[in-house]
Amino acid sequence: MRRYLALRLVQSLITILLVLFVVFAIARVAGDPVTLLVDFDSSQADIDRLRTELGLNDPLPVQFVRFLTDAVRGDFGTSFRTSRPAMSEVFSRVPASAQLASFSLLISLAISIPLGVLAAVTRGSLVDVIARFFALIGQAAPNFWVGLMLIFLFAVRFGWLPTGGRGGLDHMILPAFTLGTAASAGLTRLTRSAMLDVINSDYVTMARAKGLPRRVVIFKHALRNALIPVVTILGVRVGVLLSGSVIIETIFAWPGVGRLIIQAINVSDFPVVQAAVLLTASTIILANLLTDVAYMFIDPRIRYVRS
Amino acid sequence: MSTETLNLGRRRAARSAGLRGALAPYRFVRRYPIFPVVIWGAVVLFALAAPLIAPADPFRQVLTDRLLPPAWAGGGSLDHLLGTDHLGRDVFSRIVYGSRVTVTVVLLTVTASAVTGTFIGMLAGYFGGPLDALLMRAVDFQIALPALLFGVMLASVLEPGLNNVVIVIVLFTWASFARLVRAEVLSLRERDYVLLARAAGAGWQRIFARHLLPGVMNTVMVLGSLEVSAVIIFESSLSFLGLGIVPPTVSWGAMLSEGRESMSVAWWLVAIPGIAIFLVALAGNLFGDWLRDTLDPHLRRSA
Repeated sequence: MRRYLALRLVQSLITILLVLFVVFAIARVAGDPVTLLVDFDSSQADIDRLRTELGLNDPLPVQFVRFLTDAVRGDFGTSFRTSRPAMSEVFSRVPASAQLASFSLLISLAISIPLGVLAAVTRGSLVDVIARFFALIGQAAPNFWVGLMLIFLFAVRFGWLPTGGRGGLDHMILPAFTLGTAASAGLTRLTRSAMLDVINSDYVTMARAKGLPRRVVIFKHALRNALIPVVTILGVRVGVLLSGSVIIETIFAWPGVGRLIIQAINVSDFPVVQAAVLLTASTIILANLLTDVAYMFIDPRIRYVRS
Repeated sequence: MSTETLNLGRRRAARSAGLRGALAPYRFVRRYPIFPVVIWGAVVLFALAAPLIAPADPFRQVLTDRLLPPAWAGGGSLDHLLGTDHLGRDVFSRIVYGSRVTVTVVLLTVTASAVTGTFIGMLAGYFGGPLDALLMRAVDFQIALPALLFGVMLASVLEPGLNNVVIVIVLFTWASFARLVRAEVLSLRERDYVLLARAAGAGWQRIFARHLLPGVMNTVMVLGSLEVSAVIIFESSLSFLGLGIVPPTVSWGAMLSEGRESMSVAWWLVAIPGIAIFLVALAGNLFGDWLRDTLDPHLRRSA
């Protein structure tokens, strides 16, 4: 078990290292940052001096190692736009993103688990059909379009909720709901099929046969086991949520990391883009790691599988 | 569908005949892929015969006809079936022309991802050993990367346009094909006919093409159709952010992005391209489900 933990930890670190490499490589594809920094009338001598100062004349591997050592210390350079350190620009946006993401995750769990369980238990019923339609539609509707239509209906047409920005709870309803429903389509489908698998198992039949009440069987025997695959997918869901927040935060003018990425891209503020993408990707990798660890504790069988 | 479910429902036996009747069309639609065929038939027809179908030039601006609502809404007319946009361009014609981007992107990305992924999956599964380990780590890494996040970042440093959109999407789609194909090949390579072919001296190229490919074809086709919706949503997200297909090329994602500006006075400019994307994505998923149920009854989920 300890070996498995160590292995997963090393894997996650390697993944983060590779992410750093990708972020570095994409920055080099982007072209020469000096052209963004200098004025139109700078002389060639000025440009050369700046290049040497920034270390852009060194061989690429040297540049990558320097990028790595700086990154480990959280130093991604300064924002071209605000001249503040890129990482602190990103950190100032984290609370807003964390708030939105956690609220969305709660909404998606609150929708998908009860709906999935109810659909499985009353298989073939109207609830089941509704749950399946919901899953089908939720997986095909573009997330950002759902968000725009919700803005149109509830903010523009009815005027019940604000169109965007961060403020009280009312500001969070639409973005959190948009982000949450996108995740809950897949989760509903998964909960339903996991629950159906468990309901068909021998120990549930046994529990029913010995006369336990239906409620006890559903919640104590079936649900607890059906949640195992649901927990496994949660880490992936966090990734989808954070990744999707790039576009949802932009639509709702939510001042989080996702919107910062798009804003920074639009003004070619590459240090900020790098820092924000790296932080988001690391969070996702960490979420996956934690999910795997949680999975190991919930389901003891995994220890033998991966020894 | 045939598995015996323990009766946890209160009285499932007494499920009303009325509900069953109401579900009949749903079952029919599930048994035959009518909806996907109709939708995709229409979209491909739009793409191929756009100049014949579109009632107007999708680029022609008639400033006196700005923001006209669709025909069925108050103030609309049959001249502009789906209304006009903020520059007075005919929305229906733009949807028709926009289908070209959708069809092209889907065809190119799904084919390229399927071919690359299948080949890499076969290499990994058939040869095993260090090659397998290396390729599968690459697959794991690719799948660990959040696609939209890195897609947006990568697209932002490339020139916008069809080629780069296709490259970005393929980079994030091939890995799931590779993973699935490898798993299939692991069992296929131990089959007698493969072992015999190898014993008879067939090279790996021949074994791949003649003996493994037919075995993984079903899986690849099912995954390919299930990926259609992901690809469409990916492309429209990039175009919506101005990082994918950019004007003057007409695409549904870019239409959404332009329509967003005038959403408060013209809901149809956001609703209509969104519905187009949604229907095409839904058709892809339904077709994938149908294909899976038809080609491989083992995979048939309890769903």
